[in-house]
Amino acid sequence: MTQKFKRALACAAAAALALAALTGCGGNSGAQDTDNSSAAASGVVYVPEFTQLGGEFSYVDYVAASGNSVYFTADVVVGEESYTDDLTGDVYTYDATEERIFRINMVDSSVTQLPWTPPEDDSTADTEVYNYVGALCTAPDGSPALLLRTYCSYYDLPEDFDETVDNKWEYWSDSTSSYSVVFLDADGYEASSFALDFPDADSDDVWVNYFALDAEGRCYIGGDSVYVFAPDGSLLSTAQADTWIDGFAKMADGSVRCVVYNGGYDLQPIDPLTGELGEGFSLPSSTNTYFSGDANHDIYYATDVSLYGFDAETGESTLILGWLDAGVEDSTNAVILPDGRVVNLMVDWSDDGSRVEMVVLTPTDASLVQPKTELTLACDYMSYYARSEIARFNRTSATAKIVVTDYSVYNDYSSDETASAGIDKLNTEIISGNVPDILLCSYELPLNTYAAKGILTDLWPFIDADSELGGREAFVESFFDALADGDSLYRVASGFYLNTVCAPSQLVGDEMGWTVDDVKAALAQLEPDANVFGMYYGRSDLLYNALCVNLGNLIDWTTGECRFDSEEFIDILQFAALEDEFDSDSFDWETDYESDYSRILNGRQLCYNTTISDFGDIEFYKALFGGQMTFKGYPSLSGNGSAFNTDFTLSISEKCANKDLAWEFVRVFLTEDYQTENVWAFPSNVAAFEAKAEEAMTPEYYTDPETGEQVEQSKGGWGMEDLQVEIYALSQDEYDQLSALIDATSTMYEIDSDIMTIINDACSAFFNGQDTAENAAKQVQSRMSIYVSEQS
Amino acid sequence: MKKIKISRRASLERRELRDRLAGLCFLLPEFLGVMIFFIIPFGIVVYYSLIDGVASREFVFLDNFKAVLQNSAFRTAAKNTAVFSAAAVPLAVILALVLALLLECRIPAKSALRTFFLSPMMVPVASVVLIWQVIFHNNGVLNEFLGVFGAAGADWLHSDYCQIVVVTLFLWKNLGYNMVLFMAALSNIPTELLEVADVEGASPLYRFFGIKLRYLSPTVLFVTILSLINSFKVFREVYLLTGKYPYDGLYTLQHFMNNTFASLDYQKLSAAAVILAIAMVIIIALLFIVEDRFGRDVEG
Repeated sequence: MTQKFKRALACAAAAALALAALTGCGGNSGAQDTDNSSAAASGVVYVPEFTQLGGEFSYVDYVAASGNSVYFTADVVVGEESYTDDLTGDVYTYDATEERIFRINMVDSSVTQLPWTPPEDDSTADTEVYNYVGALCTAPDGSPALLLRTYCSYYDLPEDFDETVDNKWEYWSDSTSSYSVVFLDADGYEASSFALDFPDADSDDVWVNYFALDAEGRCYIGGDSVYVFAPDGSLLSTAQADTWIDGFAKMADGSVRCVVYNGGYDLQPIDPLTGELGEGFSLPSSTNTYFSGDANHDIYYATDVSLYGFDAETGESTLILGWLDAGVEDSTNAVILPDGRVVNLMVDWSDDGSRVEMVVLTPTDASLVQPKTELTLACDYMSYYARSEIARFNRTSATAKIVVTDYSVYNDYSSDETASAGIDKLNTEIISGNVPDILLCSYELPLNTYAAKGILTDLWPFIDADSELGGREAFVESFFDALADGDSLYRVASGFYLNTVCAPSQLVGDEMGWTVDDVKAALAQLEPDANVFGMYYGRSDLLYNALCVNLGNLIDWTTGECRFDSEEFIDILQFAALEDEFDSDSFDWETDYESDYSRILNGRQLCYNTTISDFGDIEFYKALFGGQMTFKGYPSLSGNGSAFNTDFTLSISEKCANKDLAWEFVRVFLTEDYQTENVWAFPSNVAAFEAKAEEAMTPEYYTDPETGEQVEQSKGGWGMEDLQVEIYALSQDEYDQLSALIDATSTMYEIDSDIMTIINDACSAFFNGQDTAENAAKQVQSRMSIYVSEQS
Repeated sequence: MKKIKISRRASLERRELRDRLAGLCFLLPEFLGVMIFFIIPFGIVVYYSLIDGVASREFVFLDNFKAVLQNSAFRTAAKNTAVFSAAAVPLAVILALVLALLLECRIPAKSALRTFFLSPMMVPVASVVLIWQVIFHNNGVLNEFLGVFGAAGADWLHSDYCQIVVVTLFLWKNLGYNMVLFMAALSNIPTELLEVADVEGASPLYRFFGIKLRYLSPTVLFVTILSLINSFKVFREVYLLTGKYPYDGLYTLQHFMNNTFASLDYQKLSAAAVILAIAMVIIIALLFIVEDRFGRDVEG
């Protein structure tokens, strides 16, 4: 070999090694890397146009599209029916509805009801027949096709049956379902139909939910199995899936795939002649729904925040649009038109379902669209109400929009290490300087850590300056004090509930709060085998809850000191030691289980650990303890042993360049209007809180048909196993008791998992009877001192 | 003739320059790799140690270092790390040398013994942790064994005995490899010198300290540095055995840095890392100086 050749070979080897080292960089994993719904890098944005559709229909159910037509099913009012209340004798009338099919002409947005109606229900005295649309799609020629379900209920009625006084359902004997496929023509009249015959199964027992047509007009019917019918209605094949069938997906080439759910959506090809399901591909795990493919993408799928196109061969996802970006909170009824427009029909479920809004998302060159200031929002879980508010903000704000990144899509729950991968990714992005403007936190985000690092901004100045909200006095003081970190408030919440312990007043007195000695004294008055809580409530639960409510008394984060060698913590350990660990594997729920109510009645259970989220709850717990109940909380030397909890909190980052804009969004969750409509727990806004209290204290009446007197009626009822309680108007004493609980509570129900791990590990010898509580407390103090000084 | 000489020299210089450039090109990928994966990240760590946080990135000079040095968790960790290294590293060197000297003698089953001492290196970490838990748990094998003789057991991992457990673990894992290194170094000592010493009537002690140890001094330095590095790696087993916040005596600098990383306290982490790096540079520089003085006359 010549010198030059050797050198060339050496150069090539060195280059190959250098390139090999770079192969680990970047690359597409095949699934989307982010659910970030910012404007697509392609330079196309989807501009929304909202249209309120007419009110002559309600409850949009199925949606399909073809060409410039969007078809949907909805209910229309066809008459009036009435029923008589057994208790009061009052007669109530309501609208009788039937299902119809509508077409939206996407050229002029006009809505037309198609002339087709379901067949008349041939009901008789002992047979009820009900025809309704089970699924809707479009045929290869673009006209609508539907799966019609006929549901029959049979009754063995006695000869003297009187429908005015007797209940027909007491004589029910059988129900059957039969199906047919109906094709409509371009004008909406029935063109053809055929009944579905399932020869290999008892047709009466077949239940099918899914319907699709391929490019050749073959019908795919799915339920527990997949059935393929030829265009003439003859059965071609039957297929069995190994797991749950979720539906059908129509691919860009016109073929139909069976969608099975196996932790995620797998799209398996179906051989229509043999029924064999082949090896398919999987959609990303964050997929919620999927849509037919077209010339651009094999299939489309939607997550909570975005719509993607998917290439089956490469496994690559292409971000199409962000739902929330466009002000769309619900994508259930979305369809994609051949011209690229995305149409969604949104039903306002807060009403009677009669308000239907159509949003048409049109792809537009980004340079032609007025740019808005982007506010980034990071969350570990997107609640329904937060989604609605983000969509509303994006729709109504002319200058700003919120771009959402839901980090829960990165979580892989197959192992503990990857279950919080989303949080790890968010932490990494924060530390690299990519701090989101708004943080929407449920349980997983380490907000205390962020606050300590100066990442979050103090919200008190915003509240104080917001005259419309009413300043600090407009909010429940004890709850916001518990949320605060010293003099700063880094998070706000729209509602709260209380973790506490209820106990019988005759045993424990009327005052809130108690010590372990008090617990032991009360237990001594019960049966020898009495437990503190229910029989499935073990030592770990006691320890966890007791620590959650008392941690604030044990650690002083400002000075970096902790008091785990104090009598208070030793008391907590001894409290937890009152119970053994609950072994659910060896517990026989059939023979050994006894309800909490029964155990309380029989003196074998002292208290009940619970969450108070509504004013009416107090009535239930009073009934549980025979009418007299005290909120004792967990044993504690200070505080009332109860703690606040909340569904989610909102924070604004210190790095946010548009804090005032961010506050415009965050403040919505603190308004009386929002909390009155959307908060099911206790509102944090005082006005909303008092309005809810007033409603709870206002009795409701009905007129006794016999005496004509006004009788108070319950506002609802609930219960457990052998105790059912009707909830009536709250009394002043009950309201005062609840208010006292809220006013006296000063901590949030939260604990770092590291703290629990330290304490469980250090106390295991004590709980096994091999060490004293004092020694265990010393160990915990030693290790917790390191933990606390690390954080300070 | 002169012209030919000049042209030949120029040609030689050109060839030399070409060779140098070629050499640089071959070095470039490696150099870039070292820059990207070591030098630049170290620079970033130093930068992080000098700012107050990712939010404001204000330069605070040595404030982070002061905070770290005043932090009781860091001081505890540093003390434990120093104590462990001071105990484990000399033991690892001395015991390995003793074993190497023993195996150098004509003893039976020498090969089997060598394999025996090397085999702990092949055991996976998870298995090591499992075995150690079974042995040293409060209700473990060791306490049961002591109970047979009437001795009271101890909570080995949650008491002041914890350091003994970890030192034992460290020695068990690393003695074999150190021993093999010493054995290789012993086989490289010129036998003529030893024979001359024998002939001259030198005592075994003199032969060891005067000849063998001097020739072993580079290996001793190498094994010491290697053992020092491996003493930090024992964090892996300790973390799996006892978690993020172990008993006081087991809390080392690696725990401190691992936990501050998890809690996003990159300023504290970076400052601690820089302090540790400076300490390591000083220690290794001292070791080099000692080795240089001790083994100067046997090295070239």
